[in-house]
Amino acid sequence: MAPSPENHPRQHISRLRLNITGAVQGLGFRPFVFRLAEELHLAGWVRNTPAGVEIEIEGHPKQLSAFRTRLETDAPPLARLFTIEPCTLPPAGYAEFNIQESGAHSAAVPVILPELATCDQCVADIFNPDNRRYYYPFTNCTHCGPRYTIIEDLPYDRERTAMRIFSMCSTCREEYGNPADRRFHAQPNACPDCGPSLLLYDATGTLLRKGRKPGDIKAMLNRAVDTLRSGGIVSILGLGGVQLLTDAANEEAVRRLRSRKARDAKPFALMVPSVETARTLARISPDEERILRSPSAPIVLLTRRAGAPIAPSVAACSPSLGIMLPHTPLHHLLLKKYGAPLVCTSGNLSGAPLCHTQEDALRSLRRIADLHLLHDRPILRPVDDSVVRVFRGREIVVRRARGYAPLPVGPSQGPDTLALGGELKNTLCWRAHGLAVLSQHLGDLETEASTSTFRREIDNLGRLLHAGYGRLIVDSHPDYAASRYGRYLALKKGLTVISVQHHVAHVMACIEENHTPRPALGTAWDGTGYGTDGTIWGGEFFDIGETDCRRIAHLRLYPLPGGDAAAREPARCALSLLHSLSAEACPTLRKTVNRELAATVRDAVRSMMDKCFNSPLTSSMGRLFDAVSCYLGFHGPNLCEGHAAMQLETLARRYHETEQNKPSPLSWDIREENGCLVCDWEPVLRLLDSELKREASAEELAWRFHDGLAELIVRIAQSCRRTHIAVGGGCFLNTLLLDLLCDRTEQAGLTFDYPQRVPAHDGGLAYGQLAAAGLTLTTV
Amino acid sequence: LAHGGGGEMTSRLIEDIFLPAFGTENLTQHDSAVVSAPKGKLAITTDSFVVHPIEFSGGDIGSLAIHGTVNDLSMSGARPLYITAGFILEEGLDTAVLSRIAHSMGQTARQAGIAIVAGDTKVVEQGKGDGLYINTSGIGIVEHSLAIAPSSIEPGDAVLVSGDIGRHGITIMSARAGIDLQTDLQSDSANLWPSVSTLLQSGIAIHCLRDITRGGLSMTLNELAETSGTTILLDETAIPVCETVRSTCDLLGLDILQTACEGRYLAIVPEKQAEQTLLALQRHNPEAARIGTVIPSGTAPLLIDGLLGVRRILSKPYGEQLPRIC
Ligand SMILES: [Fe+3]
Ligand SMILES: [Mg+2]
Ligand SMILES: [Zn+2]
Ligand SMILES: [Zn+2]
Repeated sequence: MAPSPENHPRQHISRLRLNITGAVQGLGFRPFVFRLAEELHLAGWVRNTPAGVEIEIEGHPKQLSAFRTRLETDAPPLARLFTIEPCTLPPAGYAEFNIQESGAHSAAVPVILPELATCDQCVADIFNPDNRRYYYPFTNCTHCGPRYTIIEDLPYDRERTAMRIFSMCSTCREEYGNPADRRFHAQPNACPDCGPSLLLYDATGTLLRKGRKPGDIKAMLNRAVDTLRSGGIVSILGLGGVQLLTDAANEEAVRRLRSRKARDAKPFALMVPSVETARTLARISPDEERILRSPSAPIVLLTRRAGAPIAPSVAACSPSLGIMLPHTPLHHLLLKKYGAPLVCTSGNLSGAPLCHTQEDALRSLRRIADLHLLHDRPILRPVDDSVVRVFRGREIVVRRARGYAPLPVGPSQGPDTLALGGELKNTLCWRAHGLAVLSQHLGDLETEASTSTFRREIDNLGRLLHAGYGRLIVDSHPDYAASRYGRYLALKKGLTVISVQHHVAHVMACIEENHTPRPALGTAWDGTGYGTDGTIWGGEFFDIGETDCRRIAHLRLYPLPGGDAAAREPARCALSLLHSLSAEACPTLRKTVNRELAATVRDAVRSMMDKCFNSPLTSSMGRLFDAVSCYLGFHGPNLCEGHAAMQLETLARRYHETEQNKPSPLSWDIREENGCLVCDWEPVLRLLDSELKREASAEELAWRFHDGLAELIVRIAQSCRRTHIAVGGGCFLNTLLLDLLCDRTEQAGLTFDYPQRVPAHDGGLAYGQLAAAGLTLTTV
Repeated sequence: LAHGGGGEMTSRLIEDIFLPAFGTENLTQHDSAVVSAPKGKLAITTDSFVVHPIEFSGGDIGSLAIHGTVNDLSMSGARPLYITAGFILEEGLDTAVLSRIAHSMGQTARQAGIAIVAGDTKVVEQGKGDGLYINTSGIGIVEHSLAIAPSSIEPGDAVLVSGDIGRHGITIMSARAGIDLQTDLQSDSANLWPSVSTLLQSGIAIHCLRDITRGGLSMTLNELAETSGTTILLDETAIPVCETVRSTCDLLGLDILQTACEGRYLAIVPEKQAEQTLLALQRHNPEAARIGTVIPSGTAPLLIDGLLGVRRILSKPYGEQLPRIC
């Protein structure tokens, strides 16, 4: 009889201790370890630690090594292991494997899990008439359901979550206590006998119905479906807050939602019942499908199909459609009944943070929704829907919130520090316990409510992470609300406050995320940020070393007549560039601008520039995009952020996808001025002008403009002899630009990194600020 | 104009220009003015005027200096009595311009019923001044027993403005931007004492008055809220702004709430007298309006409710207006 592993002589047994850091708690990682150990006939224990889990495992070395491998390959889908430190020890003689309770010392667990979309098994439960959770909208298990939005404190146990107000029935308690059950230690475990209820309110805030039994739920869902079918607007309380729903095919309904929300032309996202429905609206690659279906269940930006049956005002200024799948049982039940795409947008007033309580929904959305479908499971903090896009098979995060936040972005070296981010699309980033934890998207810090949320989340996150901070980092813009608050906090607590230049933070976010080797060329292109020399930066190149950072190149400066007004009206920037040239240059472009701007406005804007009145000089690439888009036919003001730039990208992409033989790029002039390189756009304008005169298509020129930008970055890298390139700033949300850069850098033998898990725009600033705080910035 | 250095040239300036412009009976020819002191508390203020351009539609640096000083006194509820004026002239200044400004100043003072009682003149080298600067001091008498000061502001008080805002700032700014507005827009530079006097006579228990000058409504109200330890909540739709000012702000990319006035003030009064205050203010300017309420200290000193109930924070401008959008 062959000896079984248990019968091996003692000297062949060894013990391994594994110290694992990462996001491993609360998603069934310990039960997974338990099952794996049992399967491999290994003894020992697993327990949570402040930074992750600790495992001791004892058995035959071969089994141990199998355990090591499968720990990584078979881990639950959302578990992220950052580091595994093994340590071999003499055998301790364990008889069995068990899950140890977290000891008192591990009260501080830095990794908080995000919300997870309903898993397939739970979906099956709610549609199975024989299951006790049939039609129960708050069904969940260790693989799915709310996490971050219900956690009051760590360790993650039911009594420290918003679920503690619901006391589990005996059946739920049994599931919760059984290691073999899918709901073992599922903190939000609930059922129609003991869990949260669904509530239906009318527009005036009168409660129409409340319940958790299939009959109640069906009646409420039917009422919601009727309202949606007749073009009404329904608010629904999801995982992280309220979403507003309306029929995506009903133009009148979509317009009504837009006007009631006072929202500009910014595209609305859609929720569809299935990937099959999504395919009727957009082209979907296997990678895109995988991400749509992932536990994070984000809004995925997809290429719209021509003639997709949706109302025109859903996304009038974008060629993409943002689509997500149902991610809670409530969404599954509703979408299944409705059977067609719904607009699904954040339930907030324009500029204010997401409503996340019943009271707030009924009060703030009173004039917006015709019916409210809410629930009584408290949501402790607002977490919006995340937005991602897929580029070359990789996921690029555009808005980091539900399903992502507050997972650590990665390890981060240095003292505990809090970075406060920028003004718009604000996020916080906390370095604690050696990890960089990025908060959910907190919105624009212009409203009282978003500012309150911002301040509250600083406290919340600090409490959850059990972290403090010895220093604060802010953007160097003196007027940013986050910078003001940072200075105030520092003063109050007697701490150091470090201000970091906006574009250096953008570049460092990319370098830190990708571990880009240094020295590297960092390119930051965005709208406008506060420079260190009294000008407004936005088209910058830095040589990034280990401890210092030198601004080595920037765009040729031009005035921004009217400051922020120039960001609203692309024609102002178009006029400004021409105004810097000799009077007879670029007659064709001038004609276009003259058509766009009334003579009186033109005279006034010119006069402002001549007198240097409210016309700060800028090197902004974002505004240059606006100007070029205007030359190539963009009309009117920017109706939403990035409107003109998106139109330019769309033109170029059309050419990119249809033309095989590509003409030469619109090349820039690079010259040296006082030891710094200046990238001059004048030749680009002159070429545009002459090519338009010979009636080249706008599509072709838009493409050649993009390619010229990719070429520019490569040329700068070559001229400063750098082989690694990192980029940051809102301009790099443009995936055609990324595409061309990938090609050109590859041809030139350079490495190219771009932001992925952390947004390229200001939503990633806080993460970059952490890494940038140690750099000395020099300019020439 | 040539560099005088206190000699013959300077005295000729005084004799030829200032004395006739101001009227000689009060302007002392001695080192100090001796005036009669009325019974009661005195209000004393000093201010410097460096506006550029020095002549603009609806006024000039001279009338502005009188109004500014009179208004500062009025804001403590003091009746303006005396004013002194110090001039710093840049070598090369056109004497015709100087004469116009001096006359405007004299006329404005007479209209306001305030006596210019002492003056001084210095001429600086070319390039060291901006044509003309004026420094003034004013003395007024307090004839009421109210504590008109930020410390009297209480949650619950009503906030009113004496007229539409931004005319002065926009007039000056468009002149500086070299833009002909092609409208009859003029500075709002005016004497605020008649209006304040009406409030006092109407028996309003005024808590605070503040003229809206540099930094506009935003700066002025932020300061008041900060000093009084309260929060002021504005209703954006209630703030009176004329169409020309609004459209010019858009054109120049300026924030109307940060745009200066020189003849508008804020009255902070008990809620129960808000209506009465409004009627009194409207007797002097029909555009006067109730624009906000004082609330207990909140998220920030100054909040504003915009359309559809979104409440924004209006922070104190740090320096010049900088682009914020990224
Ligand atoms: Fe930026
Ligand atoms: Mg003053
Ligand atoms: Zn599940
Ligand atoms: Zn139960």
